[in-house]
Amino acid sequence: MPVLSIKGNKTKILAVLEGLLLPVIIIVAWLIFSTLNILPKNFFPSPKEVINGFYEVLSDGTFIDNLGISVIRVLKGFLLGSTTGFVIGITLGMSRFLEKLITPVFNAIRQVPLPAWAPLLVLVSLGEMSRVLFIAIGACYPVVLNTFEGVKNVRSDYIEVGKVFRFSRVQRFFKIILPSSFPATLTGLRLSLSISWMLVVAAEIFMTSGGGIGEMMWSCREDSRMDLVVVCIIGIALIGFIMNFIMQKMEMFFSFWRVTLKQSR
Amino acid sequence: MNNNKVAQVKTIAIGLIVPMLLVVGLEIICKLEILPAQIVVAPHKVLITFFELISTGELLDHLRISMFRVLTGFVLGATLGFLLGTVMALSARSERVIAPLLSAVSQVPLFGWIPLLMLWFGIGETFKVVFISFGAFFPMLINTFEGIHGVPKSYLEVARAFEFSTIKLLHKVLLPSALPSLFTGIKLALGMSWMLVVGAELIAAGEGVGYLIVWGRQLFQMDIVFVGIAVVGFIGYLMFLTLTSLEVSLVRWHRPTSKK
Amino acid sequence: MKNTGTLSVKNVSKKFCVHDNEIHVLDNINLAVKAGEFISIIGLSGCGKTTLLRLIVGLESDYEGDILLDGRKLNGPSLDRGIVFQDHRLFPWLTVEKNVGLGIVGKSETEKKEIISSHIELVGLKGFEKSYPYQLSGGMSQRAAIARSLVNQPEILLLDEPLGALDALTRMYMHQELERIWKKENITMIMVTHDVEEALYLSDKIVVMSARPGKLQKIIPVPLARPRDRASVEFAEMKEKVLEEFMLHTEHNFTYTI
Ligand SMILES: Nc1ncnc2c1ncn2[C@@H]1O[C@H](COP(=O)(O)OP(=O)(O)OP(=O)(O)O)[C@@H](O)[C@H]1O
Ligand SMILES: [Mg+2]
Repeated sequence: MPVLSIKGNKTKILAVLEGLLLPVIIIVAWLIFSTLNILPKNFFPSPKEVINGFYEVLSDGTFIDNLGISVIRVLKGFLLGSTTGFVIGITLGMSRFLEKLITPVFNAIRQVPLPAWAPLLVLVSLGEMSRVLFIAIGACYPVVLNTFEGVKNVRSDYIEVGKVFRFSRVQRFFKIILPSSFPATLTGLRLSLSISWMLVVAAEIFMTSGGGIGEMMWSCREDSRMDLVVVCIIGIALIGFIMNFIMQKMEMFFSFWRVTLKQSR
Repeated sequence: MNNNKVAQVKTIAIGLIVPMLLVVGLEIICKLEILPAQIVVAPHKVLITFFELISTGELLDHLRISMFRVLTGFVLGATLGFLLGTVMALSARSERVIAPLLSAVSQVPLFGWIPLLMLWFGIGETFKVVFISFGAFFPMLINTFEGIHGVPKSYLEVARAFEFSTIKLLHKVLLPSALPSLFTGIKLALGMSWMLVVGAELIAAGEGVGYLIVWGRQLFQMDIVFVGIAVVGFIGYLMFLTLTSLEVSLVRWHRPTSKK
Repeated sequence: MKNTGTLSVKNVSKKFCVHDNEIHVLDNINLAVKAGEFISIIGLSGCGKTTLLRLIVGLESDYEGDILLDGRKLNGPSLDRGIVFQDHRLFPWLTVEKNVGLGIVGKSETEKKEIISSHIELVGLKGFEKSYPYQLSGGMSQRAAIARSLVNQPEILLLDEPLGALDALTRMYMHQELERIWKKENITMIMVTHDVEEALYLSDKIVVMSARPGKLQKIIPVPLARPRDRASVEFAEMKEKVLEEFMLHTEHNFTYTI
């Protein structure tokens, strides 16, 4: 037994080492090239410059401030978009008439690539609101689609159980439709948050002068501060990773009862 | 049969209610000048502008340029994604070596690459094509990998029983079986590319449909902005439809994946 | 004996429309069930047993004829009729106790708790109150479903092949359990089954249905004393009698070619 577990550990460690191979090679190459001054400096800042840059924006507070602005902005857009999307998804799923009425319009609007909304929102010029709306548009779609599917896929068997117990419409909604479609909604929410995080950067580049990490990157680019651009990219990636991680855990936590469905397949 | 047709016509009719109300409502609002012309524009004006832009050839020029960018970026990114996905699916070691780095890189939201890519490649065509290829790369990689990785063991056993060579295995078993997943990847990749070309043209371009929209905004001409948005949406939809019908004819044994 | 829980099915016919084709599923069914009786319905697959139960519970409304409960005409589902579906249909997102308490109405929280725990005990699931359906075996799920259908103290309980998915030994155990619950709750039970022994062990009457369209072929009373002994001669004779009903239907027209 213990032999087995040691072997298991060994292969695990080996896998981690293999995974680290490429990143290490890249970093070493980066170090060598930058110390030998082979690469043009303003295209490839040295690791030292990046670390110095990081220290610089960390100590003057701009990094944290801008990240904070973006996170708040993303949460606003996400909340607005996903609640709207949830309501739309539930409504379309529950009423066949509204489904027929709204779905064609919704599908038509959905065809527009998200960035194309930015100029329109700028024209309407709502300031911060236009950035939040821009994020909300993208955040809304996955929640609508997944919630709608979730509601549509509620098993009619379960609805019949509700009929046998003479559930009212409200009871049917809260006791059957909502819990049964909730995992699908959560999947939608996870996708929605990751799209929101992608769009906040876009929003801050397309609609500047509201601060945020995207705008910070943009101005660093204009100053040709490559080191700071790299710092921002790493910051954005980290926050995105953390958000996705939290949403994934939440999704797993709330849909634990789906295990059987997965296993029995 | 007849009942079915009646129901279908009814469904379509109901679907047209909202668009018609929207058109009529907008016309009335514009006629009565309830809202400033900067915010709303009468639908018939948008149509007129659309035909003007068509007859001057402007619209088609912009479209041609955007299409060229999308296709180059898409082909570049999707091919790379396909190759890497195949390699990773076939060799567990290569997966262990490459996957962690890729998943770290994929954490960066696509638009986050813009400043870096602009510093590296300037604001010309190279920047746009590379940026678009980023968007095509990841969906293609993931779906290729999952498609080939998910080939049922029983098929592989059949192949082993017939002593297929690697090439034959790839050609006869893995690719056909992974085809539905590959199509999902292609659809997502192309959709993403289309979104990114618009994004790239909004920031740095002198032509292309994305630029057309920005230009309309700078002139405060809402009708041009709307024409741009509608055309961009329509072309994206056309690309999706084309791929779906291609999928249906190629992958007869599988139900086509819907757009997510 | 109680006098609520009598059911009478009078001249009931049911058709389904599939692609403009009418399928005659039930044809002129007549059945009278006394209060507190245990009735089994057996018949070939597809002969309309489930459909008949769905009519009685009120899930199907479009039929000809009358179904009367204690002399009153049915109008949709009602809490005085419970049903255990063939595929237990527990809600996977609720614990056993929440599932069992699903249908309780008009009770205070403490009363509710009491009803739930007494019913969980009745079906022998004590200790599994907080388990989720995916943590239960097939038989345990079925028992939870039975508890869920009993909480409103229905006058009639309908069971659609409740033990279909179980192995032979668990089945026999469940037969005893069902008989115990039936006696304790003193209610009318109508059970659909494919298992002649099961029907014989539990029922006062066995209703044999024939297929296409579904008709009542015969009603066979089971006058054996309870608890019944599967090994007894009488039991075997009764079994023969029921099986004969099916033999008669598959006409003896074999041709021997040598
Ligand atoms: N909703 C429906 N629409 C159309 N036909 C139906 C419907 N429900 C049942 N049927 C048909 O009615 C017939 C009887 O079905 P039912 O489910 O009552 O059979 P059953 O006796 O319960 O069979 P089993 O023993 O296999 O469960 C079948 O031929 C079936 O095809
Ligand atoms: Mg049945």
